[in-house]
Amino acid sequence: MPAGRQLCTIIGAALSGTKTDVPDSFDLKGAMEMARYHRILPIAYDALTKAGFTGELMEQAEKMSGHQVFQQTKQNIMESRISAALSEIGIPHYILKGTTLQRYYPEGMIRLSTDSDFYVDEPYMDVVTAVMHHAGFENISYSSEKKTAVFQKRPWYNIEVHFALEDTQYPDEIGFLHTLLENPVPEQDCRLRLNDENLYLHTFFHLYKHYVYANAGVRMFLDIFVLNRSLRPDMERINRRLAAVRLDEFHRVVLRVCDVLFAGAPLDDNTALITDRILMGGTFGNAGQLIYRQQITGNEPAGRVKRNIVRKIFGTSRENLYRKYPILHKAPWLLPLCHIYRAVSGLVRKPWIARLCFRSLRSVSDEQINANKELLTISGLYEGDDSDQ
Amino acid sequence: MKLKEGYMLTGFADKYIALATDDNADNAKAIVTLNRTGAFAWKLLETEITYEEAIGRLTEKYDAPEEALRADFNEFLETLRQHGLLDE
Repeated sequence: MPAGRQLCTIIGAALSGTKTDVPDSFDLKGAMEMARYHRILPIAYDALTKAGFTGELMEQAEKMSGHQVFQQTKQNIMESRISAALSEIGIPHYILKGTTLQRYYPEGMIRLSTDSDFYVDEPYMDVVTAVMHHAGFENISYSSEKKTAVFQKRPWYNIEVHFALEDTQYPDEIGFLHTLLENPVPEQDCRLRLNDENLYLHTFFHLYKHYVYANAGVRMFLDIFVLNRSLRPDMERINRRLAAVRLDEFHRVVLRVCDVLFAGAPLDDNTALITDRILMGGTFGNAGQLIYRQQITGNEPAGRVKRNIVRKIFGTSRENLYRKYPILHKAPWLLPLCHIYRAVSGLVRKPWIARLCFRSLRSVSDEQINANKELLTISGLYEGDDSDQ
Repeated sequence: MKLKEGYMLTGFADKYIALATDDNADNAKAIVTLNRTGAFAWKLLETEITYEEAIGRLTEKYDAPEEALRADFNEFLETLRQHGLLDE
């Protein structure tokens, strides 16, 4: 844990162009592992270079960072091509999340993104799907609750197209999320981007969703820290808008955590607990965090959470199987065989996911659940339920 | 001489990577990693330039003996030729 916190301090110093004292006991190897786990290796490499680190570990980090930056650049080029294709046929679209945040990071600090995220109005869904197919992408999944389609193209291109910002499972948030698309900034042709305030809110909301779902990693907190410095949003207005969805308290906690991680603010018991969990959980959290958080937030009863974990091991939803194997429309009796095939091939291709899931299912305990309740309470996201009486 | 079309430079920290902009899977690897001097030389070659003009620009930019700059630039050009990136 100290290596992770120290690395965050070094990154914060690099962002502000200042020097920081690095203790002799600094665990460079541990810091590199944390950076990889949280997918911030190129950022960490830049910060460590500025702090004067050299040697074999840094050379390894340079090679890995170079490979990741190469892939990211290729992803960005593909994203531009898709945007140009949509503009050519007059479809207004936004590019959201990770790839839009790079411009706010200093030159040389490359913020990696898992994929590219587009937003397009729902009536264009069929046309957009055709554009993606024409560009060589395969539609590998669609969520009717989130209205999101995932497209992939070899060797590593991933594009998510969102036809709504909201998840229909959380109707209270729909009104708030609709406002984020208001007053966009035209970029080029039909490409739009969120205005500064809405970009900040959307980035924060994305962090909140992951934090509640399982974990939000260092990268998401770094995004908020960087946006805060770059955009200097009107915090009173931001908190007023977040109060409408009862996230103003959590926002204050997030800002405090950012100051602790990246600006050297003093650590107290609560932020120590929160930052420990952030650093331990990786970019998006692990299966164990998923079970505990979902049980506590009440979004999913424990039994359904376990069913979801089992589904993660043994296959995907019926809807996605029909999408993946169109023959099921003619021969629905093949569905059980498709489930078995997906389960076996998944276990063969990614056995570590099955191991993690089985371990998580076995280790659910009251102690873990209470620990997560405490975490969400001090984060301003949980007020207790009948089981606490 | 000039760089061929379809390639670009990207960077992280104080390093630079040259890569093909084509999404052909055969181009799914970085071509060459450059340092800051190499990146400057790359940018010179993005537009048509003669050898002596490039040497002149490098001499203005870097406080180093001209012989050393010529040797480094020749090595850089040879790397580009090996990867088929140079139009001469």
